[in-house]
Amino acid sequence: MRVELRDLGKTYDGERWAVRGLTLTIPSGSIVGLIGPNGAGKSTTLRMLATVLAPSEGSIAFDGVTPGPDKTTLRRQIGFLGDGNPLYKHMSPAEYLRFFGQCFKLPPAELEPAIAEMLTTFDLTERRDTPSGALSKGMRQRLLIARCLLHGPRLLILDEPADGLDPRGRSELRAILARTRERGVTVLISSHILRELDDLCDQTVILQQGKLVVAGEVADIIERYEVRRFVYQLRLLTGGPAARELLARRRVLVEAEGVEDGCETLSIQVQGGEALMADILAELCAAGVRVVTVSRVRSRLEDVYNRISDDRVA
Amino acid sequence: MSRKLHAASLPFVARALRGGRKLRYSAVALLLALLSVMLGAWLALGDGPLEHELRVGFKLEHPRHAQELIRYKIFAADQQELRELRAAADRLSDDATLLAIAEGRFEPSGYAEHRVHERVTEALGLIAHDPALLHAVDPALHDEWEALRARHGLPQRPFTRGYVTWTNELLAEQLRTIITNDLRPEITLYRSPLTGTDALRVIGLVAGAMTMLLLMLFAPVIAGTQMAQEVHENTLQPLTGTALSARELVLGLSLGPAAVVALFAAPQIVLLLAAALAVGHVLPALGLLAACLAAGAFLTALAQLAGLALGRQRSPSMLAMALTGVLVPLTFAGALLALQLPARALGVLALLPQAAASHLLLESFIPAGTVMRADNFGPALLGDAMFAVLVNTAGMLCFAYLGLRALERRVGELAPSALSRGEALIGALVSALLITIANPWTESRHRDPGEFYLINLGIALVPFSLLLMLRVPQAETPTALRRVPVAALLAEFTVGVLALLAISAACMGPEQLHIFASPVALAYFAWTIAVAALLTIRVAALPMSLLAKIWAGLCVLALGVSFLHTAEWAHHPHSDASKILGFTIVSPLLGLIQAVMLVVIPVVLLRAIRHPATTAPRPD
Repeated sequence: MRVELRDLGKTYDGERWAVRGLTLTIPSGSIVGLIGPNGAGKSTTLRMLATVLAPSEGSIAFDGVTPGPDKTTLRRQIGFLGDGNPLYKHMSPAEYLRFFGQCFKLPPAELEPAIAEMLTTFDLTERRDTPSGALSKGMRQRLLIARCLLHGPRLLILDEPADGLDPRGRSELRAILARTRERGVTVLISSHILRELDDLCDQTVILQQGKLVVAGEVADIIERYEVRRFVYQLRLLTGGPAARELLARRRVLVEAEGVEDGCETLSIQVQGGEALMADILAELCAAGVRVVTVSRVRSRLEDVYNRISDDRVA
Repeated sequence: MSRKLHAASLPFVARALRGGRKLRYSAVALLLALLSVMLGAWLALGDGPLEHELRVGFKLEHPRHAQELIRYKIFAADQQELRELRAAADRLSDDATLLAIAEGRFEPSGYAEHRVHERVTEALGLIAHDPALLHAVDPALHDEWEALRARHGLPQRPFTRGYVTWTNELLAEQLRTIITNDLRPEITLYRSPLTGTDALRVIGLVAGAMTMLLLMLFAPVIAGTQMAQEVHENTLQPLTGTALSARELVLGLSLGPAAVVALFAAPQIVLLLAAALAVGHVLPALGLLAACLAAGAFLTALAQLAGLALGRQRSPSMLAMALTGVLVPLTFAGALLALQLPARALGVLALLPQAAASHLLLESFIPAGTVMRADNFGPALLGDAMFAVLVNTAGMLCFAYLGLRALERRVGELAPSALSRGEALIGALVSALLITIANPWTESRHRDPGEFYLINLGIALVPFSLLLMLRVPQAETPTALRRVPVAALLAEFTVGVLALLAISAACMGPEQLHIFASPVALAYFAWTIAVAALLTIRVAALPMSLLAKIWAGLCVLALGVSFLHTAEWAHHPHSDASKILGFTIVSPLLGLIQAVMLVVIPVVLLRAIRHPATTAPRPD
C-alpha cells in the first residue's frame, strides 16, 4: 500500500503543534522507520496514519485515495500497534487473537488457521491458553504484534514495537518484519533504538519537534551526512605507543581503543580524506608499527541522527 | 441488519462468555433461580417470626395481633405455650366467668390467662353493642348474635354506648367468628396464612424483582464500568482501529455485558412467566419485561456515556460505586412508590422506570384492589397507571436510542456534538411530555398553577441540561480551538423550555402562565434559563479545576435562588418593588451582593466559554 502524507498537521490544544507540515510518500512494500526523540510527533503521526486520530490539517492518501468518513474497509487493510496499547490481562493469547479477528470480521474458516499461524510465528503456541497478565513483557509485545498481523493487513504500523523485547526478541522481530515485507506489506515503524532500524529499513524519516528533518533511503542519508567523516579501525600486532605518538603528531582523533584477537585496536577519525589515511599508514609502517589490518568504519544511522540532533541543538 | 448485529455482537459476546464462563454463569444463574424459588417459598410459607414480619412488610399478611383480633385467635409460640393458653381458655369459658369479664369484675392471673382475657374482653366488647344496628345490615347474623347472648346469659340490653359500622366486612367477619367459636378463642400455633398458590405468586414476585435488578441495575453498572475500564486502560483505542464501525462497536460494547446479564436473567424470566401463567397475569408480566428492557437499555447507554466521560480521570471501581450509589436508591424508591402508590403520585410511573416496572410486577401477581395493595389504589386508577407505564416505556426506548446515537458519535469521533439538533429536540420534547404526565394539571390538585408548570420546569431543567451537554462540541477538537456556538445552544435550550411551557399552557390555559404577567418574574425566569444553559455549556465544554467546581456549585445555588424569585413573583406579581432583590429583606448588603451576582455570574460564564483555557495535555 502506497501512502502519501500532504501537509499533515495535528494540534491537541490549538496552540502547540504535535506535528506540522509533514509531506511524505511511503512506497508500497517498503519498510519505513520513523525516528525522533520523545515528543517529536512520531506517535501522533502513526495514529493519524492508522486513521484512529483525525488530522487538524492536511491529508493522507492510501493508494491514492483519501478515506471518507467510513474508514472500516480501509482499517481491514491496516494493522496498528499503538504506543502503550495494553492487553486484556485475563484473556489468553488465543482468546485475544480470536477477539480481534472477530473485530476485523475474519470469516470463521480463516480465523482459527490465522490464529494458529500467528501463535506459531510468534512462538506463543505453548502459552496459547495462559492469561496474558501472566506472560513476560516480551511475550506480551509479541502477542500485540501478532494481533496487528492477524488479519493480513497491507499496511503495518508499529509504534515502538521493540519495547520490552530482549535481544532475541528483537532479532525475531526483524526477521518477522523482513518476512512481512516479502509479502508486499508496507511497514511503518517507529523506534528510539536506532540500531534496530538502520539495516532493516528501506527509508528513514527523522522527526524533531513535530517537523520532518530528513527523509530518504538509509544508505543515502548516511552517505549524505558522513561525507567529511572518515573513521578507520587499525589492528596492530606491535608498536602501539609509537602509533599513538605519530597519530597525535598528525592531529588524528583516537575515538576508541581496545584489544581484539590478541591485537591492539584503535578507532581513529581522520580529518582529510582517504589520501591522508594512506600517508598516515605509510608513516606508521615506516615508524615500525606492525599494522595487521586497516578498515574503514561506516557511519550508522545512530551517528547520523546524533549529528543532526547536535546540529539542531547548536 | 441481523448480520450487522451479529458481526457487532460476536466478538464482545464471545469475549464475555469465553472459556468456561458460559457454563459457570449458567450454573450460577440456575442456582440464583433456585434461590428465588426457595426464597419465595420461604417467604410465603415460613412460620417463623422473621418470615411473618417480612410478609407484613410486603403487605402479604396482616400483623399477628390483627389476625388474632379478626379471626378471634390466639397464636402460641410453641407447644408449651399452646397447652397453657388452652388451659386458660378452659378456665375462662364458663358463663359466670364470661359475665364477670363482661362486667369488668374478673382479674386474670398469669401471662396465658391475661392473653385469653384480653381476647375474650375484645369479643365481649364487640357483642356488647346495640344489636339493632346489625339487624338492618345482616338479620341472620343478628339472630345468631342474640342467640349467643341468650346461651351464655349475657345481658340482652346493649352494655356499651359505642357505635359500630356493621357494613365493615372485617367487623362482620370478626363477629361471625366469635359466634362460630361460641366465645371461646381458637388457640393455635402460628402458621403462615398463605397457600401454595400464594407461594407461587411470591416466587413470581421474587423472580420478577430479580429480573428487574438484573436488567435495570446490574446491566447498567456492568456496562458503564466496562466502558470506563476500556477508556481507563486505553484498550478502547485499538478497538476503534478495527473493522467495526462506531455503531457496531457501541452495540458490541453494550451487548457483551448484556449477554452475561441475559444469561443470569433467563431462568428468572422463565420463573416469572411460568408463575404469571399459573397464578398471575401474563400481560403485565410481559409488559414488565418490555419495561425492564427499555429502561435497562436507556440506563445502560447513560452509564456507558458516564464511563466514557469519566473513565480517563476516575478509576472504573469508583464509577461502579457511583452508578450503584445512584441506581440502588432509585430502584428501592421505585419499588416502594409502586407498593404504596397514592392516587396523587400516579404520574411518577411515567417518570421513574423503576416505579413503572415495580407497578407491572405487582399487577402481575397482586392486582389493584386486593388487600395487599395500597388502600387507595383500586382498579379505578388502573387505566391511568397503565397509561403512565406505557408512556414511560416508550420514553425510555426513545432515550435509549438517543443514548446509543450519542455513544456512537463519542466513541467514533464522528461529529463534534454527541447529539444532532433534531435528536436533542426530540429528547427535550419527550422529557417535557413525561414530566407533564408525571405532574399533570388538575385544578383540584394544584392550588396555584405555579405548582404545576414551575415545578415541571424545575424538573425539566435536569434532562434539558443533560441533552445540552451532549450538544456541546467536544470530540477531538482542541479545547482552545473549540468554537462553542453559545447563541445557538442557548436558543436550543430555550426552545425546549418553551415547548414545556406550551404544553403547560395547552393543559391549563395560557392565561394561567403567570410568569408572563410579571416583568420581574419573567426577568428572573429568563436569567434562570440563560444561566442554567451557560453553566451546562461551561461544564461540558471546558476542563473543570477545583475552583471551577466551587464556582459551578455557587452558580447552582444562585439558580435555586433565582428560581424561587421567579415562583414568588409569578405568584404575587404586584409585590412591593423593594423586594425585587429578595435578600434585601434580610440585609441591604446581601441585597447588593445578590445584585452583583446577577450580573457577574452570566458574564463570567460567558467569558470562560468564549476564551477557553488551554489545559489539554500534549501527547507525543
